[in-house]
Amino acid sequence: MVPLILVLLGVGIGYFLYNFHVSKRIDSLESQIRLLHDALNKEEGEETRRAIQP
Amino acid sequence: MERGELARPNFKRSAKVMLLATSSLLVVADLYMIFHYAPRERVMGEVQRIFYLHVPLAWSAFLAFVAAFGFSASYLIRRKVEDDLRASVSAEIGVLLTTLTLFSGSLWARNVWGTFWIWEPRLTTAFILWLSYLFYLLLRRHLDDRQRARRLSSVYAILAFINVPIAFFSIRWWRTVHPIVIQPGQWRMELPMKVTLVVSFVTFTLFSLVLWLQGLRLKRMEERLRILKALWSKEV
Repeated sequence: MVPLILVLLGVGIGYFLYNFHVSKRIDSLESQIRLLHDALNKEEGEETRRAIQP
Repeated sequence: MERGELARPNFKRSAKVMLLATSSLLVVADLYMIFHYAPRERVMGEVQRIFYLHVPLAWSAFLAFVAAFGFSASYLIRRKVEDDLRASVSAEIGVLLTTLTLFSGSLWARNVWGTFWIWEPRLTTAFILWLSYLFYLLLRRHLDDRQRARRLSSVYAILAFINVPIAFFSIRWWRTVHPIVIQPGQWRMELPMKVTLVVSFVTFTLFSLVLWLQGLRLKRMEERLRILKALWSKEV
């Protein structure tokens, strides 16, 4: 029974670690994307404002 | 690539939740079947139950490598970044599953053959397969030019795939100590064992699909961030 439990643990840990790594990276990327997106929108907004000002 | 293409969800959120719920339920059912429903094998005893994890893991790994091959070929034909991202996630999942296959197999071998590892055809070809896709992941990581990395890794994935049928059929082509349990047309096992194995196949395939979708989401976000950074550096 011990080898079977070890295999189950190994498989569980393997799946968990991959999912954990991916989820953590997604969280970090989400905040970076949001920041860059906001910054780009702000730049575009300022450019448009400058363009329409008399 | 269009900026909106990466942001558009390819798989509906509700379908993802359903998939996750189904695969989680299947994991519970599968564990119950492995421990209680499947009978104890007469010769190997309890250690034979590793088979219900090892075989579906290997099957899912082969599926992942087939997907990596298909998406790489598709990238070379259509030059769509999405295909390259899918190929890269498939290879990643394939490496993870092959690692787990080798791990579960060696624990089984220690109890049945008396050693963790033998350089026999199936184990050797599986090890080469694992190494070749590990190299694919390293290749992608260490090439700075994205276009070149995509092109080279797609060609490499197609070449690496040659070893997949070799590893799969090695137990039939060469004399080996690795057991051949599933033969076309004849499954040498009792019905509860067959049912447990089929449930395990479905469970591992679905659970690997969940991981694949999660991995693909990450790849899309990395690509999106790369595009945004490129736009930002142009503006600044």
